[in-house]
Amino acid sequence: MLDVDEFESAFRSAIKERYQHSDLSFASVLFICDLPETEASPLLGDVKGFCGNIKQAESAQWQLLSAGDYQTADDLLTLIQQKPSDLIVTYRNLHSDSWRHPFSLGEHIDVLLQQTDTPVLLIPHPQAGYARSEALKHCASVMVVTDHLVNDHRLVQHGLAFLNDTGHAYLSHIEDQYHFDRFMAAIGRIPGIETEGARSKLHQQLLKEPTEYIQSVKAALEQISCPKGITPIVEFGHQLKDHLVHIEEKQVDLLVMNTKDGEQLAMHGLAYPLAIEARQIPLLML
Amino acid sequence: MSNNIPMAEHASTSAAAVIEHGAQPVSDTITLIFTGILVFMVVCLALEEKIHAQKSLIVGVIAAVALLLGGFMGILPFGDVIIPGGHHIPMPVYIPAVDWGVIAIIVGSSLFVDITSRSGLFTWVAVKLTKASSGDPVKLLWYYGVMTVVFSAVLNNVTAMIIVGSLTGVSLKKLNRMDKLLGFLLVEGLLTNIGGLLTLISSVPNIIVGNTAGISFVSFFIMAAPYVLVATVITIFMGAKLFGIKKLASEDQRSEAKILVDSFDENDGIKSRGFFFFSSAILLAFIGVIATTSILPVVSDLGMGFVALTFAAIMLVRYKSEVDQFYKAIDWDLIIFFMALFVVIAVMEHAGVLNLIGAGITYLIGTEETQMGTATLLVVSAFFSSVTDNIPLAAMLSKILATNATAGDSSLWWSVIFGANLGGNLTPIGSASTLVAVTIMHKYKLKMSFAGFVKVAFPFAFVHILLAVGYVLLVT
Repeated sequence: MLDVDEFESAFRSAIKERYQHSDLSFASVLFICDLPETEASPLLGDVKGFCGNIKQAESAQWQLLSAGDYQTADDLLTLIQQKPSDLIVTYRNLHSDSWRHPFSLGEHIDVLLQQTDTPVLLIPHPQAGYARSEALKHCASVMVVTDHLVNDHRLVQHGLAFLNDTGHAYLSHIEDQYHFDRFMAAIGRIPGIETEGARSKLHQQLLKEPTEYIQSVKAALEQISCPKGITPIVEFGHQLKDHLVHIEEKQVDLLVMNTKDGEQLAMHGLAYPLAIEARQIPLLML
Repeated sequence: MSNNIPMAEHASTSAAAVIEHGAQPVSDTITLIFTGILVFMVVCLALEEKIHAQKSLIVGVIAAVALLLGGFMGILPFGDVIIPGGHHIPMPVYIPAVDWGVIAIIVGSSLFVDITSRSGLFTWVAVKLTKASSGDPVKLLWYYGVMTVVFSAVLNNVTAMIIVGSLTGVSLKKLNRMDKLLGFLLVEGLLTNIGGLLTLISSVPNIIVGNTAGISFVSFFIMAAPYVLVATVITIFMGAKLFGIKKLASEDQRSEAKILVDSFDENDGIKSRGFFFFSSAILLAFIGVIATTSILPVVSDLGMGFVALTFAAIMLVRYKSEVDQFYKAIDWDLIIFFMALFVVIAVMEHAGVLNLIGAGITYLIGTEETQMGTATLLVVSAFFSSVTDNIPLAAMLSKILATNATAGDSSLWWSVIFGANLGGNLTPIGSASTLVAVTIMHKYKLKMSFAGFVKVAFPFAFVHILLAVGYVLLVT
């Protein structure tokens, strides 16, 4: 006998979030460093080169906040409010010596990421020496990371905005195998639920939605004849370790991810550990 | 109109037609005792949710008690049953009491619909219509309303309410129009009972009364279709007006709604294109064969139950290694309820209770078939089917009309059919499909009490019944 829940599930499953493309432009960019203005210039040049793929990059207005412009995180936030921009570029462990110890992003960056709604391009610390040799040289490979890729139009749009025309975007969605196994172990102890059937259906459903969303990204780009390549990474695994492996294997030039979590003060779950670990390449944090 | 025409030779497979069990005169005391048992059963069914017992158990227990009492009091005709060909075979009295033709239709149809739904056909139709509405609430109400009527007619009213009601919840949530959900669900719930009037197989009362009166599928459709069309249009208009369901005002709203409904993918539920087209073709064939059962050689003798079971078997071939899953999914509560109900009615017949009720009905509608009598029977049927299950009511009244040798073309049959179906629109317990509508409302935390339902549904039900009385008097 048919029931309401069965049909509700069928209709919910029929709802497909489709990627809506929009070309982003960054008319004004704020570069924040803790170097004297003269020493900042070469780094600023590299950053401008790295951002060269964004729409109307040549006409973008660049502003600089350098050593002496601010002392505390509060000063920094006040200045950011006074100089509104479409993109903030800075590096990890800004205004801090903790770059010597790869365990944090530094207090200024922590506060900045949580307080601003402006996307932040976080590059490796200029003195730390852990940056990949190719970092900031070009942007031919972007990885967009989220634990819920569906409906993340903004995230994908930002990733594509930085990618060069012949570049490749890896859209990744890694379901946490540990949590899945934990839930399945609980389901395995409930007599009313057929465990193997539940495992197979849940496994399939969790991967189905991001896969379909990524297909809609491909379709949207084909529709506008955009030559940028899209490759899905949709799988079960360890979210942190497997992302790091993919970053190395695919020689990713830019990692794009969400940092905000509306329900907590700290950075979004996967974002913080990934930002700490993936320190050899630039990160675009929304 | 006359009731002197001999009763149509009905297609019912009820063994009552071939066994020698006739109702013998019994004492008034026995009749009163069994009347009390029947009233008790009806009250228990009306209070089904309060006493936390499913209807199959309620009627099953009553059937067992009635059989035992009937046996002790010597009113049951134990003995062999004579089958066509004159052979006597031993058979317990409760076996031929069951109308197996009706049971076969219900089992076959529900299996057929269940398997067909796996093809994604119904969700495809539903999503296509949702997209065709472009998310406009008024268009959506019309499309869902018409879909409810068609699904109720082709499938059955409970299945229609399940499909359309669940889609309504999901699509209105997607469109951020949850404030209109109550209105949509109520209109759809009422339309299931309107659509349930369209064909002979749309609802169980139709099957029972139509079979007993010997009304063919096509005759039934021709008679019911004009009423269903008018009642559907009126119901949707009233629903839009009473629940403030209006067109989208601005172009922005329209384009936003269109984007939202366009995110539905009608092909998502289709696992196999081949099975989808096969199911569509078989569904059309099923409707075609059911519609022509009465004129098809051999098939007319085997009956609609055979057709339903055969089509179910054809569909089951697709799932040949897991047919047991579909058998498990059969609503055994409903099937056992029907079987037990037929047994109770048979015992009541032998106890003289049906004669007593028949006398009461004769008192109400008169001995001659009059317009007043036809109208009264329709209104009384509607009232009783609103407070208790319409299936026992239909089964009992059709038995009484048959016992009184009512002509097959009598308007009284239609009074029972219209009354039994439309009474379901007066209260939330009047029909299984309105109960499903209320269940979906509660699922979405919408408050809808018994009195609340009656209050909002009464204007609709009043118009439906008034229209039905006028229509039956005009047409029959």
